[in-house]
Amino acid sequence: MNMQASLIGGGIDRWLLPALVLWPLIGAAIVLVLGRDKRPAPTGASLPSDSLGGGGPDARALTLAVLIVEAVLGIAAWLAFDADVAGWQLRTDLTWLPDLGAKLSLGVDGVSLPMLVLTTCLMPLALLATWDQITTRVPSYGALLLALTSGLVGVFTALDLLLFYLAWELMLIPMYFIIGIWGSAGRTRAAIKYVVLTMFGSLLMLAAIAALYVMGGSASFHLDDLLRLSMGLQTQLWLFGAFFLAFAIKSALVPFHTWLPDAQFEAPVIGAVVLGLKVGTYALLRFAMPLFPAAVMHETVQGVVLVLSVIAIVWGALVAMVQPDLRKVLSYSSISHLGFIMLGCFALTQQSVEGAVMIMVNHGITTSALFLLAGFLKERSGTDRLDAFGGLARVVPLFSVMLTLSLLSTIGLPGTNGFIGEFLVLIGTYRTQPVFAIIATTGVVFASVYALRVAQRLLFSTLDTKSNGGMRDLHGRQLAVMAVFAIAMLWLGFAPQPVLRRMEHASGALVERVRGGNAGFSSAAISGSHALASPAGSVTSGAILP
Amino acid sequence: MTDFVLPAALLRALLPEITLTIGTLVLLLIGAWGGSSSSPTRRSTRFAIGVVLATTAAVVLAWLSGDGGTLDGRLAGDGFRYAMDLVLLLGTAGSLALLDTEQARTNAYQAEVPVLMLLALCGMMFLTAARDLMFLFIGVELMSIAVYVLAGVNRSSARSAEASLKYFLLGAFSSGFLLYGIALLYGAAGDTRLSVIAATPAGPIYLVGVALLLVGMAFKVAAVPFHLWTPDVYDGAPTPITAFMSACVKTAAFAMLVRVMVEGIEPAIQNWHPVLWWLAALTMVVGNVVALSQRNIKRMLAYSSIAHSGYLLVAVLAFSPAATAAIVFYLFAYTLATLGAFAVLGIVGEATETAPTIDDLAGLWHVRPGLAVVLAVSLLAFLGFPLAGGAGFFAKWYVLRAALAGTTPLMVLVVVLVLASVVSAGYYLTAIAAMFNQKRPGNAMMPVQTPPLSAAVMLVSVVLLLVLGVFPTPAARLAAVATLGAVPTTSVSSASAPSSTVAR
Repeated sequence: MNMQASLIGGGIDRWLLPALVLWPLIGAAIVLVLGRDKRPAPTGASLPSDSLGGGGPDARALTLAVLIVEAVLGIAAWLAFDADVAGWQLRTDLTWLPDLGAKLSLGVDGVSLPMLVLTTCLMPLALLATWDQITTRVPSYGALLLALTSGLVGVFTALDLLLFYLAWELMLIPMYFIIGIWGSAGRTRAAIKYVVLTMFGSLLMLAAIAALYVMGGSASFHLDDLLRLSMGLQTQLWLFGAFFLAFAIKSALVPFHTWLPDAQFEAPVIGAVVLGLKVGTYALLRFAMPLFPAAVMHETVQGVVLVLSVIAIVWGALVAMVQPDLRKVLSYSSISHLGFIMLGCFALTQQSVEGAVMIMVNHGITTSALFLLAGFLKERSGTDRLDAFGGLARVVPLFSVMLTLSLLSTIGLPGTNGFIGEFLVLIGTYRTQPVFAIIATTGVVFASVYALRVAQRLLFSTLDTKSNGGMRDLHGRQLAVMAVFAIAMLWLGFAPQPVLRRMEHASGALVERVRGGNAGFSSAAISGSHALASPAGSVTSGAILP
Repeated sequence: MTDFVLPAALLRALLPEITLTIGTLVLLLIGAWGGSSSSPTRRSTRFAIGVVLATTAAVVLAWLSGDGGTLDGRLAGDGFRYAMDLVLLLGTAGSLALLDTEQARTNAYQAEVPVLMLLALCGMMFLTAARDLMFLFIGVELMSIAVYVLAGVNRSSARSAEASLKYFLLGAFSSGFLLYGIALLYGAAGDTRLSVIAATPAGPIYLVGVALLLVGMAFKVAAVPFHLWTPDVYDGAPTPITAFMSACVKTAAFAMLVRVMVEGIEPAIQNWHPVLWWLAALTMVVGNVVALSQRNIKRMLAYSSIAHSGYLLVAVLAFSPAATAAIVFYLFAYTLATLGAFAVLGIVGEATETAPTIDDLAGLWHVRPGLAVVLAVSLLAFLGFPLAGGAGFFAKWYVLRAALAGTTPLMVLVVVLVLASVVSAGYYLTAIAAMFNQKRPGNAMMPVQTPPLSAAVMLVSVVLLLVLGVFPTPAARLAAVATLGAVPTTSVSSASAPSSTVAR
C-alpha cells in the first residue's frame, strides 16, 4: 500500500503505460541499429566468445536489457495498482487521430494487469532460456521479439478499439517472421496458415469495429463510449459473431485450433511460448462480452460456446494422449485448457470468470515452462519425440524435477498454480451449468493421463540410449530461469490471493455488466429503439445490418 | 446565358495542363534535335521530371488560388481535381525516376518515352478536370494512345509488342463503347455537360447510354469482367511503364469514374448501383482468387491491381463526400506502394530475361535486406495491414468506414471486401515468405547495386507509407478537402433539361 502510494505520488501513472508500449519499439530500433551479430558460446560454455562481429554491443544482450527494463516497468505497474479501486487505473489518454476520434487511451484493470505482468516478465526469461538457440540474424530477431512484446502489451492495455486493433495486428507480423525465418522445416506453411487464419478473424473484427464506430456517430473508438451504445439483438449477434470468431481463432478454440499445433511445432521455442499466451480469451473478456451482453446471454450462443468448450476440454486431452512429440502434446494440452477458460468465461459467475483469468495466467506460466523444457530437450538431442528418450530421471535429475513439477501443474494438482484456476472454474460453472461442469471435470482426469504418459516415457521407462546417457542437465542460466518458474508455480499455488484480490472488482463488474446489460437491454429491444446515448446527446444510429 | 468562356478564364482553369504541354513540346523538340548527346533519353527523362515538378507547382498554385474552374461547367476547379492531379504527378515522377535507372542499365529506350509519359499524364489531368463528356473523351484518348505505345516501347521484346497490340485492340474497342455511350447521352440530354446530363430524366436512351459508358469506364479501371487485358499488358510492358500504368492510369480512370458517377449520372442511381455492386464484388473476388495461382510477380500484381479496383468501386458505391476522400487517400497510398514494389522489381527482375517470378525473390532478404523490406512493406500496404503496411491500412479503413456510413450501408459488400483481403494475404505472404523464409539459391544472380534514383523512390514511398500508417491525419485532411466542388449554377439554369429536350 505504501509502495503503491509513493509510486502514484511520483506521477508514475501518467507515463507508465505509454512507456510500457513504446519502450520495446524504441528498443527494437536500438537493437536493429546498434546490435551486432555475435556468435554465442557453444552450448555449455559459460562465457560468450567474442570471436565475431566487433564494433557494437551484442544484439542478444541488448534485447535482453530492453526486455528487463520492460519487466521492471511491468512490475512497477503491479505495485502501483490499487486493488481496492474499481475501474481503469494508470489511465493515460493521448491525442492521436483527432479527425477520427481515436485516442492513445491506455489503462489496466484487474483482468489485464496479471496478463500484462505475466507477459513482461515472461519475455526476458524466455529469451534467457533460449539464449543459444538462435544464431543467425540476431539483430533482426531481437527487434522482432521486441516489436512482438510491444504488440502484446498494447493488446493488454489498449482501451481504444482502433488502437487495440493495431496492437492486435502488430503481434501478427513479428510472429510470422519469427516462425518463418527461424522455424523448423515446415515453417513457411505453418507461418502462412497462422497469419491467414488469424487475419480471417481479425479483418471481420475490423469490419465489426467499423460498424460499431459508425453506429456511435463516428466520434470515438473508446471502449467506455462504445459501451454506452444500445443495439438491437440482431445487430449484437452479428457483431459479436465477428469479434468472437477473431478471438476464438486467436485462442485456438475447437474447431478453429488447427493452426496452433502446427505453428507451435514449427516455431522456435520462444515463438511457441508467446503463442501460448491467451490474448484471444483476454480480448473476449475485455471487449466482446461487455460490448454485446445480449448476444452473450443469448441461449443459442451460450449453448454453442459451452458445448465447444467442453468438446475442447475432452477432445484436446484425448488427442494430447496420442501425440508422438512433446511439443504437440503441449499444444493439445493448451487447446484442452482453453476449453476451461471459455467455460469459465461463459458460465458467467464471478468465481468462474476469476478462475478463467487465473487459468490464463497460470497456463501462461506452466506452458511456457514446458515449452522451454521441450526446447532444452531438442537443443540437446535434436528431437523431442517421446519415443526417443527414456530413463532421463537418472541422467538429468534437475530437468526431471522441473518437468514433473510443470506436468503436475498442468494436471492441476493442489499446491501448484494449475489447481486454483480450474477449481474456481469448475465450482463457478457448477452453480449455473452443472452438466457442463461435470463433463469438464473428466478433462482433469484425462489431463493426468497425458501428462503422466509424458513423464513416464521421458523420465522413468527403462529404455535408454547411449547418447541420452551423456545428456547435460540444466545449468547456468537455464537453471536460473527454471528456478524462477518453479517459484512462481508454487507461490501461485499456495498463495493466489494477491492476484485474486486484484481481479475481484474487474471480474465482478464484468459479470454484472453482461448479466445486467442483458436485463436492461431486453426492454429496449421490445420497444425496438436503436437510440444511442452518447455524450453529445442521443443519436439514432439506424439499422446497420440488413 | 453565356455558353462561351473568356480566353483568360479558360487559360487560368487550364494553367497546370498548359504548363505541362509546353514542357512536353519543348521536350519533344529536344528529343528531335538533341540527338548528338550520348544519352538523350536520360537527359530528357530528367528534364521530364523537371516538367512534372513545374506542373506540380502550377497545380498547387491553382488549388491555393481557389479558382473554381470554368463558369460554363465544362472544367472543374475543385479539390478533387487538384488532389488527383497531385497523386498522378507523384506517380509519374516516380515512374520517370524508375525509367531513368532502367535506361542507365539497358539503354533500350528512345528519347520519346518520357515525352509519351508526359502526354499520357496530360490526358489524365484532363480526366480529373473534365465535366464535359467531350473533354472526357479527349482525355481518355490522349492517355490511352500514349499508353498503348508505351506498352510496346521495348521494341526488342516480342512479348512487349504482343502486350501493346492486345492493349490497343481491346482499348480501342472499349473507347468505342465509351463514345457510343457519350453519343446516346448527348442524344438524351442535348448536351455533353455532366451538369445538364444530371438534370435529365432517365429515359431508355439515357439508360443505354449510361450502360455503354459504364462498360467503357469499367474497362479503363480494369473491373471484372473487363479486366482481361491487364495481366498480359502488365507482364509484357517494361517495369517502369508497368508502374506508370498501375499507378497513374488507375488513378485517372477512377477520377473519371467518380466524377461521372457523382456529377453526371446520379439520377439513374437505382439503375447503375446494382450493376456496380456486382462489378465491385466480382472484381474483388476474381482478382484476388486468380492472383493466388500466379508465380510471375508482375502478373500477380496485375491481378492485385484488379482487386484494388474492386475495393475502390466499393467506395464509389458509398457515394458520399467521405467516400470521395477515401478514394483520394486510397489512390495516394496505392501509388506509393506501387512505386515501392516496382522499384524493387525493376532491380530484381533485371537479372532475369523474363519477368521475375516468386522464385527469383527467394532468399532476397539474406542478400539484400533493404530491397526485401521495401517490397514487404509495399506488399503489406497492398494487403492493408496495419503498422507494417502503413498507410495501406488506413486506406482500407476509410473505404470501410465510408461504405458503412453511406445512406445505404453496404454491409454485404464490406464482408466481401474483408474476406477478399484475407484471400489476398495468401499471395502477398507467399511472396514475402519467399524473400524471408528461404535460402538464396546458389545459382541465383546477385541483384545489382540500387541506383540512387531508385533508392530515393523506395525511401520516399516506404517512409511516407510508414509515417502515414501511424499518423494519417495530414494526408487524410488533404483528402477530406478534395471533394467534388459544386457545379456553377449559372450553367445549369442556362441549359435546363426540359428546354434542351424540347429543342431536340
